[in-house]
Amino acid sequence: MTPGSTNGHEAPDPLARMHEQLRDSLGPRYELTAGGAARCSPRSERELLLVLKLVRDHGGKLGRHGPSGTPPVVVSRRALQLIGPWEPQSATVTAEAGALLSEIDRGALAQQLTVGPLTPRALQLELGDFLEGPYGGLRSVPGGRLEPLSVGLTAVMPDGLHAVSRAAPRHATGPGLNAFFLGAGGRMGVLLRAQLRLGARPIATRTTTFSIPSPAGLVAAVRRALLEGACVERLRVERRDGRVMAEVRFGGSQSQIDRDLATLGTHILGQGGRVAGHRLRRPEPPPAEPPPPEREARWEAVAKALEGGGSAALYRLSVDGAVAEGEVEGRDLSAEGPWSHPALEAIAAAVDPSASLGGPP
Amino acid sequence: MTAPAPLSASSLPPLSALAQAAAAELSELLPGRVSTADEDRISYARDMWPKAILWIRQGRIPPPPDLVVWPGSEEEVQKVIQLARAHKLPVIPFGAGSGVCGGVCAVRGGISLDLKRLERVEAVDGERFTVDAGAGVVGEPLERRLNAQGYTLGHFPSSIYMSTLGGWLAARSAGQLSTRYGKIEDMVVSLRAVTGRGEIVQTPERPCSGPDLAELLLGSEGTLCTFTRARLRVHPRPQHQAFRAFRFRSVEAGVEAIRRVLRDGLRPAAVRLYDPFDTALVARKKPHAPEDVVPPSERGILRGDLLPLLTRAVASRALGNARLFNRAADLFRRCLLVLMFEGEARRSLQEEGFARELCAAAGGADLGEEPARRWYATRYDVSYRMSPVVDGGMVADTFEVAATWDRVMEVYERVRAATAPLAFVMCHFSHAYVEGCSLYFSFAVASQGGDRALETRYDDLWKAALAAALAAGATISHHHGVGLLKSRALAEQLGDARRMLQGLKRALDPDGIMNPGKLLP
Repeated sequence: MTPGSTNGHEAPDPLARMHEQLRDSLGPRYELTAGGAARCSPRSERELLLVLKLVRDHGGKLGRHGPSGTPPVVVSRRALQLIGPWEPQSATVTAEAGALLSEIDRGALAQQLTVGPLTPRALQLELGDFLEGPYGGLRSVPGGRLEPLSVGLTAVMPDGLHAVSRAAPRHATGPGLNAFFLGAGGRMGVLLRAQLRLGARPIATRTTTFSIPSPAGLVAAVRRALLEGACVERLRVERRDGRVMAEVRFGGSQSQIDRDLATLGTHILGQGGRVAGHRLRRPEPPPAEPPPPEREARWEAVAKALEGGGSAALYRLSVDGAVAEGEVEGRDLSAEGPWSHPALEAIAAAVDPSASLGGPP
Repeated sequence: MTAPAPLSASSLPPLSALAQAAAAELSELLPGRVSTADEDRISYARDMWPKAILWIRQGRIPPPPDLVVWPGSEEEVQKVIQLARAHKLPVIPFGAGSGVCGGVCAVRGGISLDLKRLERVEAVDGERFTVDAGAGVVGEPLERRLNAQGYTLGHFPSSIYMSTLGGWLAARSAGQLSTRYGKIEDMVVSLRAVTGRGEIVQTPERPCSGPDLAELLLGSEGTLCTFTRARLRVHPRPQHQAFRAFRFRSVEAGVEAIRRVLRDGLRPAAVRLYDPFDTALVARKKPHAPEDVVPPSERGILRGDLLPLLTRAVASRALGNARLFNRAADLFRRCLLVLMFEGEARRSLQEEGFARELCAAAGGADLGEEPARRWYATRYDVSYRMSPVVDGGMVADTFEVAATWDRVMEVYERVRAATAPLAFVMCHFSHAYVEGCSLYFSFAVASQGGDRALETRYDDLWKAALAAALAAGATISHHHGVGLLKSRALAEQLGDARRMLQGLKRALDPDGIMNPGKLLP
């Protein structure tokens, strides 16, 4: 029995019709789940567009995180996993939303390019989930900044039309419309594919351990080095004998690594630190499956955790903060949280008045 | 060329009853800071859009506001917008008027909201490397105040003496050292603004959830909100600067050198490649030492060197045959590349050294430091006095686009080809990124048929330039914005995605009072 279906004497429930049509159109790729919700796995962009149309036309709601009112239709884009074309001159690649970032990165290897450095958990995500989800599609770039991995996007808007943003490194053509999709949980548009900015694949890595008198000194040194242009792939930190031990992994060309090491080293020396020359006491754990939870944290939270004797592995470093594995307070990146500003809800309501894409969380 | 026609206040549209009522109410709210005087309405009717300057020469006043107000606080800005909303009267935020796309023309009258009184700059937070500054602060005093504390914003648009922070945010401004420090949107930590609903909005700092609200406000050119304040990233003042210039045999070779420098992880502060005629023109100052060129700032070329030369020697009659002129320019081949690195001494010297190797490998001839130092010394060599140019029967304008590297040469060729019959055109490449760069075209337009014919030709030029850029896959602006000038082209660039922009407008400015007619037609 399809939820909401009626006998022949009453007008059929639109949601019941939606479910019937979804089942008819997708066959085994449609599955009814508990609470009247449904899960769809369209195998092509065309099927995905059909799902969105049926949901919209019948007053349904797309969703990910359980019903509020109308039971949601949860859509998997995993079958949309085409990667390419590669554009080696611009160091970009176009990939569909269901492609795993780890798969894209493997493909980039042949071009001597990389999507990284990304956090361990991010690397396991589908592209669409990385861009739309709590990571917001962000990665760190030289200068201590964060920047979207995508340089151009194609998405389906709530009205079913396509939004295609022109690939350009920057623009001055009004508000950044990609922001309707990045970090928005698919609630103002559903991503189909993106053109990604890649970087030169590191040809070497180096890990150096520093000892610094205080957490505040570490944070000050790292911030200064990032502003100067140093790139850090990963920073593992812990307290030992009253000092902070910081194991830094650099990647790039040999000259790049030398420059970054010298820059960070100078600032760590300036904070009374020194090269410790040995690894952290805790051996590097084997890669976990799945990787441990990650949180987006400010540097103040990192310093506080270290003051309390905590330890952490830090990725996606910027002047404002980092993504942390370990005992650091911050925003949980495994779940979509309520949006940080009420104006965003008003914007979502204006863009998708019927909330067919789920409405704000 | 006819003499400039006098401006007559009698040609100003009279104040509507609605505007008069609003002026009376605002005068109570902001005593002494509301004006309906003719000279103020005329002054605030335009920015530095060349077409508006042409109109002025013709004695035509660009669409003026009904009144001008000077609020002194965010609360006063909010009250003005709330009052405007109650009266359904347009509000046109106004910084320092340096825009070049007609973004402040009051196409439906209304209130010109001058924000220069919001100029307070707080002390730098030296731990987080941020500064809080009011939207009305002019660029150069802001930088000077930061320098006094040992910091820099790193934002150096050529308009730095006559543009405000709010204007930078509204139009997604870029400075000459953007390759290192980023564009203004890269420097924003958080923003404060008053929306068309009359509500104060503060964008959240990271970590935060949901879409990036700041990204949805930046570049809105006053059509959604007016910025009142921003928290910006600052950097320690650089210890050292390293300069280098190179000569390349072709544009392609120079572009490839820039691409390799960026791909290799180097981060010059300034990158500027001048196309052949641009290079040759500025080299004329030293005819006996062709390597010793003087690279100008972008407008310095046009208004400082090119236009006086052309005005005297060639005159608008000859420039009327732009195609011929552009063919002559094709005789030149060599291109000048200017690089500047800054920051910590050891790092900037190392990076400059690696860049030298990469440029040599790409076929660049090392010209030493001097051409780059000269560019730096004259980087604000900008004259805003367009009137003498227009008096000479010409209009000069600039068009800055951006594209990924695989499209850069096509954009260059197609825009040149499309505009060559209509204007003298040259270009430089700057604001480089790993995946692409900005192309900055400079045009000189002339016509033998008088002011109206010149205006027609100017319009034709822009239609051709925008169509060519769009066809080649570029975005139609990298840092000047859209305004009135490019609004139709923006609709074309966005396609169906303009519905998202319209949704944003409905959400933040439901009555459509904020700077009507801009961004989207």
